[in-house]
Amino acid sequence: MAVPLNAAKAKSRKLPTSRSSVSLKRMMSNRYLYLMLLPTVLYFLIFEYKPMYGAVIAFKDFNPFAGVAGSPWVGFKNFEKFFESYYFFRLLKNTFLMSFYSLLFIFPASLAFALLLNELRLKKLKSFLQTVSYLPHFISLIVICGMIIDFTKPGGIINSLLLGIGFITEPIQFLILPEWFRTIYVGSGMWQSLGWNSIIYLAALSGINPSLYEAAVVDGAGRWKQLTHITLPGILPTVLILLILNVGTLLNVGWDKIILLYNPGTYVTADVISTFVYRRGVMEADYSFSAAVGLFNSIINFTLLVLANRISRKTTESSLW
Amino acid sequence: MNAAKRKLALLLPVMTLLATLVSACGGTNNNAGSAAEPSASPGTQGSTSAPVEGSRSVGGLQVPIVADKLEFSLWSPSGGNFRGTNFNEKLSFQQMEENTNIHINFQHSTEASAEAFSLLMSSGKLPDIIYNDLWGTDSGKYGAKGALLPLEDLIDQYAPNFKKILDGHPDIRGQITSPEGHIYYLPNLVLDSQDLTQMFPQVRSDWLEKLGLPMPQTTEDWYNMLKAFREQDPNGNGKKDEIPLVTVNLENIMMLFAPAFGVEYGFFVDNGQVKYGPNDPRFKDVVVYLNRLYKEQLLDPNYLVDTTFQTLTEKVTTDVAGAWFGWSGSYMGNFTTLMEGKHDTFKIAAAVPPKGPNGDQRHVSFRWQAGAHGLAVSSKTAHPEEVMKWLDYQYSEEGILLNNFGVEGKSYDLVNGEPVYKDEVTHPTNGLTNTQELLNHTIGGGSWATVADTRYAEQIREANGQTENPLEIYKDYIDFDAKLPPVQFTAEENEIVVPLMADIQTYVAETINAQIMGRQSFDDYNKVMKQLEQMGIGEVLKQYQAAYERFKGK
Amino acid sequence: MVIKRSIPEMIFDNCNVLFLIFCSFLFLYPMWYVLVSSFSDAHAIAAGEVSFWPEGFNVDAYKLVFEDQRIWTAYGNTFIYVIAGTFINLVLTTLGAYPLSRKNLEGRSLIMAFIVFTMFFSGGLIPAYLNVRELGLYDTRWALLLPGAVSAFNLIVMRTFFQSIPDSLIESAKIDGAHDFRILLQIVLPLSMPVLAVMTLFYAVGHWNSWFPAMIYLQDRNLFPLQLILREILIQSSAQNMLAGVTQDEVFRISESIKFATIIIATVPILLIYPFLQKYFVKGVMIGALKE
Repeated sequence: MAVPLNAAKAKSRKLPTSRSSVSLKRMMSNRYLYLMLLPTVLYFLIFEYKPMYGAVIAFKDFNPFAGVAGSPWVGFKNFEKFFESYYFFRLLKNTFLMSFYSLLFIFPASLAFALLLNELRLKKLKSFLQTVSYLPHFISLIVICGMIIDFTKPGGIINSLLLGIGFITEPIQFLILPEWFRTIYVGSGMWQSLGWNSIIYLAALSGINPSLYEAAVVDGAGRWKQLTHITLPGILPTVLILLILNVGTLLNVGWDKIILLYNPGTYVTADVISTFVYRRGVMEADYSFSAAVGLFNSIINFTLLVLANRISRKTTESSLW
Repeated sequence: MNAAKRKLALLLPVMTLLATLVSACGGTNNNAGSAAEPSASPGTQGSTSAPVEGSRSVGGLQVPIVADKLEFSLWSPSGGNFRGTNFNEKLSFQQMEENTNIHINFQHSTEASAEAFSLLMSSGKLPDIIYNDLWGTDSGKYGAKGALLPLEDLIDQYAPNFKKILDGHPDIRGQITSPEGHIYYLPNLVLDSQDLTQMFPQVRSDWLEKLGLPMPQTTEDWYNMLKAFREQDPNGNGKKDEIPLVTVNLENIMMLFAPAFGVEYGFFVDNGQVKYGPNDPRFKDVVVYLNRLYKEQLLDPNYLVDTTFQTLTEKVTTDVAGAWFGWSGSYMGNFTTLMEGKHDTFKIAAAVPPKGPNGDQRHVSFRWQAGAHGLAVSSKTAHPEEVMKWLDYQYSEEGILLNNFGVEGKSYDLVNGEPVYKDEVTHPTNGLTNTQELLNHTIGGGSWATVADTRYAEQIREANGQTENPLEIYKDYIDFDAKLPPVQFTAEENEIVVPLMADIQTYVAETINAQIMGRQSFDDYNKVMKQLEQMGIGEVLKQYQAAYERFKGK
Repeated sequence: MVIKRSIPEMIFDNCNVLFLIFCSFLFLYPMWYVLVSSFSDAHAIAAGEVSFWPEGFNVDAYKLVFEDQRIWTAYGNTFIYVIAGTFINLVLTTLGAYPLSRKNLEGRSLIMAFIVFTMFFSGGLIPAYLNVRELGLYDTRWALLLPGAVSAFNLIVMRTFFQSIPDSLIESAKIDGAHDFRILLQIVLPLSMPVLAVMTLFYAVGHWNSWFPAMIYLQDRNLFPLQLILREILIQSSAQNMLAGVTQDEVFRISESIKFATIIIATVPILLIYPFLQKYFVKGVMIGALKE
């Protein structure tokens, strides 16, 4: 226990000899910190990086019974197979559209919701609304999909409602029709995440210095002026960072919600890269091929993220790193 | 059918010849096989060969198999057809453990078994014994990768019961042998040819009577009948809520109608040529026909979403479904028991396969003697000999009884030497159907690596009040030559077929469904065929043809 | 300060209130519908008669679900996963976040990069599965506890929070002779209750709702968490498998309400604790996103 103290003393007494010896000393003085860090680093090594090594099967013809090391290399064959696949462009398009529409609708809606909440003067109502709007975020995907299936079926509540108000005359088979799939996906996604996404804006809004508003009121600025001149600029960095993050995941559509909801009738719009990987890798045991597709997807995502970050840094000075 | 039978008969000598050849080869390998064993199974000396003291012979197999209890792991899905969460809860397996002195650690996956199976295989670490529905096509593939133990030598040495069946029914061997000449799994077997029929068309015959309609014979009859079901309120509730034709998937509907137009939804054989249904110009007629049914709401508009048996059962038992394509027990028998006493007239009749406009008429839903489902053995098992013996026990008379009927005195009694289910099983009072109740006692002869006993289906059927065997009528419509036999691919062929078919199947499922639902025009069906050609169906068919000819020539 | 509102402002305020109340209705109604349906007669549900109040009020569905042993086993398992899993999460995340929050830690930016990279890149499903098998975790409870034990995002959130604790506090403790473990336990953590609360909530909810790892890593039904059973009931519609011993007829009569009742039973614990923890969310998300 006395060691760090001694080390600190020693450091203050001696003149720095060389950079490396100083840093070595500092490392010594922090050895408990390193010890502390060890389990977490081990976790990342074992459960995150080791499987990353496993992704080399994308370049192999993986035979589980020969092991990763024992399977023969095939270079880019699996990637070529994917690029040549009949469904390559459709998968790209569906993946992109699915997340693009999510971004297009949910992103601004969350912002608008936060701004409207922020304008609310009844504090009780505001906190009630917040509570209520975060709620869907905590409901499990299984339950949500169970609800979607039940609500959208011909005798379900949505059809009953639409029939009731005379909007339609025949029940709509929502889950069979490809043109409805994205609407259902994005709509339910909105329900799930609107409130939750708005938290971050509310947090940013609460971080704006109140004196700015007071000064604006003195200057005779109305609510709209305050919004455009103080509120929006105040939260712009937050908005941009989130936008970067979202762009970085444009080709990253989770498959779990989709595989719970899709069927051959809706593949046209519902089949995305990750569901394709799931079908080919898990259902049809084409391990190397699906690893290649997954790897391709990861690389594209990473590139998009880096690009978005760079553009944002150049144009707005907000960036992730 | 006569022609078909004759062809089959011609095949038999060839098969027998082959069988002897294979077993001869096996014989020379015997020594090598047993020499390798001890190294594979350290610490099991003493259990080999020498019969256990106080043992008895079951068809040549000495039981108990071992003196000191052995444990094997066995992977299998549970639930669904298998019922129950651990097979050791079934009395049949408890009794089997007592008889063989081998304990099975069942490893069960959930119902999503395709995923679970694939992941299991991806790990490279396998339990001793693995169940799969698709060993018929998968066993060669995994065998070539070194995952599965070739069983042909072990069968010769340690499996007198199974061997006897193989020798008595020579064509079975061809059905389970891989292109390289190995047997990698022991299949479920049906030895009686009249039991080979699986699903068949079923119609609410009381509705027919009510509306004064005859049993449908042709596709046009079917259309008219379904139309009448839809329009004339056969359930008499004053509402137009009838769903004339229900199904859990498109495949079943295709099996019902596609043969009437000379094709099938998948691969089939036309004069010795393997063909792919959707790639045949005649397939357009199927689509046109089904589109007509769909458009007029004769085919369940929900067929793509309501894919569970439960939803179908609901439609039947709420008196809105008029016809379907299903099994004898789980559909016909099950529905009949469910409606007993709840409906005055409810009656289901089996219809003949419909005859198409060009006179095509055949029944395609039948299986081969060797099923695609069964048990395979991991190449890493430490006890190949004992595993083989345990598997052989499944095919012994004793094992067949256990698997089909359960434990004597518990689920059946011997009456004049014949097993007869107890009343508690055929007429359960606990709210279960008799099939469900039976499956609490045993695994079911139709789903396991064993022989399906004819008497099982017979007794359950009679208990359900069906006196005549509905399967009888299909014998005449079965064409063994037109159905693609269980061909297996070599590794190279697989390499070509699997990726191409993955895309093709997606395309076909999408396109055909869209055309049936009228969302895509089928006027120019050539487009579909052109697309399939582009996607490589020609290449795929070449591999199928090669595999088929290899199968035939074996 | 009293601000006079102009007429357009008042109109806006009132419309805003109405609109937001309508929004809250949209958020709540699906859950409300599930609740009333769970108490309703299945025929009424099927006929679309249920809207705001239970039709043909009954609690049969709950009776059946409560009688089912498997639901309770799964419930118990889920509690184990939530409690043990969250504990492991918190320990590992804290142990990772605290050292990385110390500015004098040599190489910390490198280690941060090492961790952050995993947020954007992963080996994929099959390698992860093979990894779990190789480690011998397959079909054990550990398979649901260890993979995913640290979320890089949460670690960043926590680290950011730790960075906001004044250095002077930690330095003076060091001078008093406390080593880092002690500082963490006795000084840092007591000051970090808000972030710990948020982490607990995030992780616990994650465990509560997780189903896919269980589906691929577990075979033994005795280890199944609740969500997996829910999947069977809700998505695969196999309620009749669940409720053995009930006649088929019964099952059809109440199968719809069974679905809704299971949803309620599976969601109630979250709904109960949720309002009390809700105030921490804003804090947690703010720490995580704004300062990083």
